[in-house]
This record gives sequence, C-alpha cells and structure tokens, in this order.
Amino acid sequence: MKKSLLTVVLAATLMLTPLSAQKAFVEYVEGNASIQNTSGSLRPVDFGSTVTYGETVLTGQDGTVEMVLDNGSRIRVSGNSVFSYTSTGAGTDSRPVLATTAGSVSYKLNRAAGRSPIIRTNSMVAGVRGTEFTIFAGRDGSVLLAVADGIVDVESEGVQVTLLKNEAVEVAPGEAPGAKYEYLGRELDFSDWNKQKNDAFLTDPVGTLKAVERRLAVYAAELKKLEAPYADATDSWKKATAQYKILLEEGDKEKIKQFQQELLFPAQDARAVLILNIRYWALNYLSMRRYVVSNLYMEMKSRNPVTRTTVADEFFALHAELLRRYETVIVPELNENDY
Amino acid sequence: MLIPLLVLLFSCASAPYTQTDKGVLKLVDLINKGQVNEVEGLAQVPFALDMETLYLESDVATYWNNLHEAGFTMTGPRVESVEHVSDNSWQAFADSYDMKNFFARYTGEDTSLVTLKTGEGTFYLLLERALRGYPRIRGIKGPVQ
Repeated sequence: MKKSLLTVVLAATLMLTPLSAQKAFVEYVEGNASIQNTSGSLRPVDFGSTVTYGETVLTGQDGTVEMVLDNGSRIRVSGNSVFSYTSTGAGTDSRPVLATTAGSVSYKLNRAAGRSPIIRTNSMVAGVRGTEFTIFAGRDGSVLLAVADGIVDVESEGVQVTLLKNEAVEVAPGEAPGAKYEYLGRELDFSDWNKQKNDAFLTDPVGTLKAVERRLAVYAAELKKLEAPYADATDSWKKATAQYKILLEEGDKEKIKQFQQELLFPAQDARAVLILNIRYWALNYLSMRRYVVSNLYMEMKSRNPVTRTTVADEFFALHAELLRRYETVIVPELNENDY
Repeated sequence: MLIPLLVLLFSCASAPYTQTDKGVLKLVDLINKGQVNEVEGLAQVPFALDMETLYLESDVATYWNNLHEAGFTMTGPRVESVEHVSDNSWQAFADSYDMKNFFARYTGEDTSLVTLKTGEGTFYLLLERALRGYPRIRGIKGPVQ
C-alpha cells in the first residue's frame, strides 16, 4: 500500500484536516519536557508553545506540562509520560485523538461544540462527554483509568465498560476491561501501580510480551482489513482521474464540474479516508512498539546483560519475532517522518 | 598573532569531536562502578539500546540502575576502534527502520561509534561530546560474541 499512500497522504491530510485543526496551548511547564513534531524533531516545551495534530509531548523525570485546547479543555502531562495529539476520520467526521502512551495524563474536557475526542491508550479506547479523569499507562502496556467527574465509556477487545464519577478500571493489553471499582477515598498512586505492573512482568515476562503481542495483532488485523477497500478505492480513483483527463481535453465546463462533484471528488475523498485510517492503525502499532515493547526489552536486557536464563531466551526470541513482524507488516506503511 | 589564534579557536570549535581511548575507558570505569546516573545528563535521550530506542529519561536511568544491580561490569576493556558516525553506522546496531532513523535523527558529526572489546564480548558505544570529563553516551549495543 505504501507507494500510492505516500504520494497522496500529504494532499489527503491537507484536504481533509479541518481548517480549524485544534491546537493545544502550553500554559504551564516545569522541568524537562519536549515536543516531537511530525518530522520527528524534538524541541523543548516552553510557555506558549503549541502542540498540533501529529505531535507528541514527552516529559522528563521532573517534567510537567499543562495544556489548554481551543474549547477550554485542559490536559496535564505528568513526569515520565508520553502524550500524543492526533486525529482520526476526515472532514466533518474528523475527531481529535488524545493518546496516553506512557505515564500519567489527566484530562478535564469541556463539552465540545463539535465531535467529542477519542481517548486512546495502548490497551483501550474511551469515549467521553464533558468529563474529568486521569489515565495511568503502565510500562507493560496496562492502563488504569480513573474518573473524577462525568462519564467515560472504556472499550477493549469488543467489551465496553461505562465509568461514572469516582470509578476506575484497569485494562491489560490484549484483554477486555477488568471489573470497575470505586476509588473514592483510596489514593491512586501511579508509582505503586506501575511498580506492581513491573513486578508482574518480571514474574512472567513471556506472558506479558504475549499479551502485548495480542494487542499488536489487533492493530495488524485492522490494517489487513483495509487492504482490499484501499485497493478498490485506488482503482476507482485512477479510473475517475483517467476519465477526468479526457473531459478536460474536451473542455466542456459543465460536464467537468458535474464529474468533479459526482465522481472525482468522492473517489478522492473515499481513498483519502482509507489512507488516514491505515495510518491511524499503523501509528497505533508504532506507538505500542515504541513505548511498551522497547521498555519491556530494556527491563529484560538490563537484568540479563550477559548470561541468560531459559525464560530470558524465550522472551528475547519472541521479542525478535515481534520486531520481524513490525518490519514486514508495519514499516511498509510508515515513512521517515513517522519515526 | 591574533588572527592565527582566532583561526585556531574557530577550527577547534567547528571540528567534529573525537573520542580518546582514555575518555572511553573513563566512561567504562563509571559504568562498572554503576555511577552513570550520578552524572546528570551523561546518558542522552533518545537512547539506543541494541535494536531498541528508549525515549524516556526514567527508562534510561532504570537501565543503568538495573545493570548495576545485576552486577554487570565490562572486564578488561580495550578500545578497538573509534569512528565518526557515517551513513551506514546504524547497521552496527540493527539493520532496521528504527535504527536507520535513529542514527539519521539523533546522531551528528560529534557522535562516534566506538567498538570496545571486553571479557564479556564486544560492545558498540555511541558517544558524544564530553560532560564533566566523561563522554556523553547516546547508545549501547552488546555484548556481541
């Protein structure tokens, strides 16, 4: 898919991104934090910095970044965290995607005039309606979502759980959400929670990596589903373009206009939407691979730097297999700027 | 007198930074003592670890802490080669999309690829301009047997 995809992705993005693509304005920054832009370059976060679609905020150990969206919604990225700001869909169907990939991010979202944002993590997707909540993304790919106010619908593996005020739920990678519970009066400590996840990983490193593998497989399957529709849409678009050239040569302005409206533009739009969806799933995969798989590898490698146990060998073999699949299935859908 | 001095200063400032064996071995000593995290800013992010990339400072700090707790040391270190990073250096770490882009994006003319022979095997170190007498470290691969 890549060749054709790359040639049109920029045009598609320009065409379909809403003219008023939302920006997040940095209102407060503390410690080390940087913004990775769409070309992969890093720049320090400063007061007044803006974060636009496709950009990622990374905070250092002592870093905190607070942002406000155009509609007044607020986002707080705590230390050692990764927050990505993207979008999905196109035109009037476009929706912002607020992704917590690592660490802790708190949201206080206003009821948007347009479509509500999608809240994404490595393990689940959530829909929100004017609400306040915090997401903790563990380094093993697990997620803990705690609602302070409003309603959040959490979905993973086809199962949805609705959280109300003072309720929380955990979602492990590749699994349905766990049982929700009330956390009122219980302090949610991300450090402790993350440590528990890390301890669980060390108890069963291969099992944890297999869970991540299942989640990656979901992303790969979604990509696979789009192959045939993309091929069909490309075929329709090429035929429409060829026909359009003939009409241009004939010079009948009425016919040209009618053809544009009825065939050419719809064919372009249909293909562009598919391209954006392909990239959405490919970038989800990339994110999980980049921030979760790499961390699990680091944990195992640093504990087994020279000699290896049987379990470590099994882990590294599976890790190598995951990277092989990433290179063959996902990398062809990426471009240099995605890195 | 002033002009040659300025020329000398200018050339020093613009010349690619070259690692010395002494500096590399000083860093190895720091690694062996488990004190990399004690020199703030020495380990850079993003950081290449074998074929992986670590983006968070905390992950890199955890890596050095865990190594130390695992009793890791590089015994009998000997610098085999020091080369400025070139177009194909990424292949020393991994022949992959990630490493190709990591090297393209996060290494520069001041980055050297150092090959280090030790009793545990061969290590590849990505080193940059010194900080408080130690080369900054941008990545590590190994041991490779």
